[in-house]
Amino acid sequence: MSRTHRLRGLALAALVLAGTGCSASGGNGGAEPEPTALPRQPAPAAPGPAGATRPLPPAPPLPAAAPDLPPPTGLTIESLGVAGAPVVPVGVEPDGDMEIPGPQEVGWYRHGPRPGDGGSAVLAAHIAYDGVDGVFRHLDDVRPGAAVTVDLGDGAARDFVVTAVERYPKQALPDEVFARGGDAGLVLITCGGRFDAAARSYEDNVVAYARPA
Amino acid sequence: MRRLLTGAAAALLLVATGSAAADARPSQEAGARIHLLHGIPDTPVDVEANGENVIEGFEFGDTEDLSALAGQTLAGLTVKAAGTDDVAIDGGDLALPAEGNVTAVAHLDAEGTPTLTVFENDTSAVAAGQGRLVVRHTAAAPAVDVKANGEVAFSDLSNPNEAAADLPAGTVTAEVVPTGADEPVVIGPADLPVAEGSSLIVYAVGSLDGGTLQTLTETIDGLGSAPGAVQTGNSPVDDGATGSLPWILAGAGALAAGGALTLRRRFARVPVRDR
Repeated sequence: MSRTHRLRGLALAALVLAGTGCSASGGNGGAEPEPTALPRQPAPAAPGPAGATRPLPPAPPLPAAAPDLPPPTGLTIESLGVAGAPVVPVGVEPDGDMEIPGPQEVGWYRHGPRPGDGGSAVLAAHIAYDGVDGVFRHLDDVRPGAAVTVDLGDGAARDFVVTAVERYPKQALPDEVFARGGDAGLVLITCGGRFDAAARSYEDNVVAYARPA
Repeated sequence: MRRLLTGAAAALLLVATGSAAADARPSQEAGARIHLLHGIPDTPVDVEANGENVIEGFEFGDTEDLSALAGQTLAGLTVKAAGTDDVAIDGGDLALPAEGNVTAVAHLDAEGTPTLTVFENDTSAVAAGQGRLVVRHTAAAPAVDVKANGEVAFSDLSNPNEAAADLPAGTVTAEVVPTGADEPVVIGPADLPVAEGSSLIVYAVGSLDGGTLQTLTETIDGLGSAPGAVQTGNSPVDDGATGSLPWILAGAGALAAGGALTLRRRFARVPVRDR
C-alpha cells in the first residue's frame, strides 16, 4: 500500500509543479482544467417511473460547489446619478452575443463570476434603446476613483472603485473582460463612439474597470 | 517499483521544465492530464505495471491520476482481482500520451469481459453559454439510444464508443433505451447538469444482464468562451456620440447654454479616442 501512496504522492507533486508553471503563464482561456475526481454515484435512490424494467440508477452528483456570494441585484454609481438600478442575471443570445436587458435594467453575465468573487464580474447596460436612455447613458463620463456599489441578493453590498475607463472598437473588446479567474474585479460595459444609423448600432464599447474598494 | 518511481521522477522533471519553458503557450500543452477510471462494479482490483503493483485496492468508481507518467509506457499492464493473481485485464504495454487529456477506463465490453479503453477528452473551447455533454458506452449491454429531454440525441451508440454534443447550459434529462426502442428505459431518467464552459462526461457502466447498469461522471472545467459582442444601444443619443463633458454639468443647468459647444466637442473627440 505504501508504494501506491508514494506513487500518488509523486503524481501530486508533479501536478503542483505543473500547476505553478501554468499559473505563471497567466493564460485563462483554454487553460488546463483542474484534474477533477470522478465522483462515485451515490447509492441507488428512489425507484423510477412505472414501466421501467430495470433498477434505475441514481441521478449524477450535483454540479460544483455554489459560488461564495449571492448574485447581484442592484447597482449604484452616485457620480452618474445611477441609484439602485435593478440588476438581472443574463446569459447569451442565440447568435452568441451577450444578452442585454431593457434600458432600465443592468445585466449581470451569469456565466462569469459574481461581483466580489475571483475573476471579472461583468455588468452591462444600454446607453440608449429605442430612444430611451439606458442605465449606462453616461458611463463614458465616469472617472477613476468613482465609487460603485453592488447590492447582493442577501441584502449585503460590495463597494468598488473605478480604476480606468476605456473605449474599444466592438469587435476588439478584450476577452479578458470576461475572465473567469484571477483578481476580483468589476467591469461595466455599454456602447459608445459613433452611432451607425443604418446598423442601428454603436461602433465602440465603453468599458469601466473597477476593483474592490 | 524502482523503475516506475524513476520514471515518475523523470516525468516530474519534464513536466516542471515543460511548463517553465512554456511561458506563452496555452498551459494545456504543458504535460498531459491522464486519468484511470475503474468502471467495473463490485470488482476491486490491483493494477500491475512494469512488474510491480502500482495501484492496490482500486475500486469501482475510483480514479487514479497518472498525469505524472505522461509520455511513458506502462509495460505489461495487468489488472488483477484485488489480492489475487487472477488476471482480469491483460492490458499489454500501454503507452501514455505525452500531452493531451485522456481517460483510460477499465470496463466491461459488450459481452461482459473486462477490458481497457482509452478515450481522448475533447478540451476544445465551447461557445459562450454552452456546455458539452459526452456519453460513453462502456457497459455490458447492446447498442443504445440516448434521449435528451425526450428526444433521441445520440442514436445507436455501442460499446466502446462515445457521442458528444455542445448544448446550451442547463439540466438535461437523459434516458437510455435500446436502439430504436422507447422502452425499456435501461438507465434514467437522470438529470444531467451541463454547466456552462464545462464538459460533462457520462459513462454507462456495469452489466445489463447482471442488473448493475449505472453511470459514472467526470467533469472537465475551464472550456468557456467570452460572448461574441456586447450590443448595448440601438438608438442615438444627442449627436450619436457619447459625451465627454461630465454629465453632472448638464444636470447643473448648463444644458441650454453649453449645448452647441458640447456637441462639437463630443463629435471631435471620437476619432481621437478610438483604439
